[in-house]
Amino acid sequence: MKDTFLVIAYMAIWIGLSGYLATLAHRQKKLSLRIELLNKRLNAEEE
Amino acid sequence: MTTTNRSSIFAGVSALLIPAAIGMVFFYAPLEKTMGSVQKIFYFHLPLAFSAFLSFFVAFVAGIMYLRTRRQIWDARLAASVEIGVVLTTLVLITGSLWGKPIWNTYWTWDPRLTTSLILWFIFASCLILRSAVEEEGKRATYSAVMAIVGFVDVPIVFLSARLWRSIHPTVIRSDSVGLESSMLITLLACMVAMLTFWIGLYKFRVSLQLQEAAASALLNPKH
Amino acid sequence: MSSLRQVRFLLCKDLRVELRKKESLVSMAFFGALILVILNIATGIGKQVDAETGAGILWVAVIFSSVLGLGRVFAREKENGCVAALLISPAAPWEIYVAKALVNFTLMTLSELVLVPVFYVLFGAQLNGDPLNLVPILLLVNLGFSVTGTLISAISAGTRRNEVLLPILLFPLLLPLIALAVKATSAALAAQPFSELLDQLEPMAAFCVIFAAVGYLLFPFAIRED
Repeated sequence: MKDTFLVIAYMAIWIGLSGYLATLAHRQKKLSLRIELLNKRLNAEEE
Repeated sequence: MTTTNRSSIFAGVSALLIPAAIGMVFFYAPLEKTMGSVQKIFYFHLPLAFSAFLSFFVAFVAGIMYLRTRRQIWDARLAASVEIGVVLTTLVLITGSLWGKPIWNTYWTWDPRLTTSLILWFIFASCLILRSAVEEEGKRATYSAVMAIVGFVDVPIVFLSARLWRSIHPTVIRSDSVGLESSMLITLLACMVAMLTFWIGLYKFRVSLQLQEAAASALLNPKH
Repeated sequence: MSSLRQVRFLLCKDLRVELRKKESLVSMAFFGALILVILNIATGIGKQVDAETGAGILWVAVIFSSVLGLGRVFAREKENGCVAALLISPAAPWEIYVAKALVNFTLMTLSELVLVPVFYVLFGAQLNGDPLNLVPILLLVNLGFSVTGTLISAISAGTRRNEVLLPILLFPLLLPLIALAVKATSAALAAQPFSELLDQLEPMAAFCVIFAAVGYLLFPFAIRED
């Protein structure tokens, strides 16, 4: 019975940390796409 | 982006260290007499708490440096460390609670360390809420810096006064100050090193993300 | 003008404005009394409370009603565009800080003159302690609340969500002060001797000193943002 808490705790740590990492990676991806779009727009305007 | 490349060194290293540390926890560290296997939560609970506290200390320093120099890099560091600190503190509270229930049959105790973690969570989470409420960058940076400094100053006060509250509630003394035998100590050290490596990689990544977002919005709203 | 006169000048100005309509005082006292009534209902009508519960009830009412008054301290200036005027004036930022903190201290103390009696009426049946023992506790909390709150209020008034942000930012910082106050108050209400309270009053005083120092250092940064 006690072991359940141990397992849940480690699962919580795993889910928490990797969930946060995934959120950050997703933000990074969205940001890179946005920067790409902005650069395209800037290049288009220069012409 | 060199920062992302450097942070991926730390990321790569911690990707090896963390499974190794977990392996040590489950296969090398001995079973504790009184608490049994649940005690193993401690091997990451303590490094998490330490890293959370480290994050808030970095936020405190970043706040001071921002107010002195007004350079955006310090605001990026503050934003990163506050956010990471809140995430880590959440995990500290969860693991602490899950450790407490089988041991002392309660999900919460008002012992000074857990109390300080809880209040730290509220202080720095409120800092994140503040940041989302202010659009203008300079204002947001100044306000967050002030809150981070005040918040961190409050920490020792909370800790010391939590020791004074105790005689209302029945005291539960946390037993991680029980002497650790050497194999436990080594396991703890391994987890600590793994956690810190992970923290450095995470922090650098988050800072670079913050700087990129600031650059992108500067492109969108060019100040003439 | 010397600092003392600057501070006194600003303090009198704010108090005079307040006393004209008594806007903040009335809302603080009214809201506080309302909270006490609600808590009376919440703990069960007619049920007696012991000293510990009573202490908690009193402090919930005081801090929630005080936040109302604190929210107005800078909001009023911002609404009328007076912050710039204050900053251009010969008053140094720290003098503004001290004056505003004293204004809030005064308002809190005045509203407690209403709230403490209301508290005794609703909850005081079994509380035998000497009410005078409450005075140092109330004054120290008012002081700590005011010095911390004035700094935080300068920040929250600079956002669009002043009334919402103020308690969110302020209350976590004040938790140690309030916890000590509750403990001291429950001892006072339970008719313990005054010497028992010193264990809490000393750290509370330290809290006030530390946050006054922090406020003095950081307030100029907070107030200059607009």
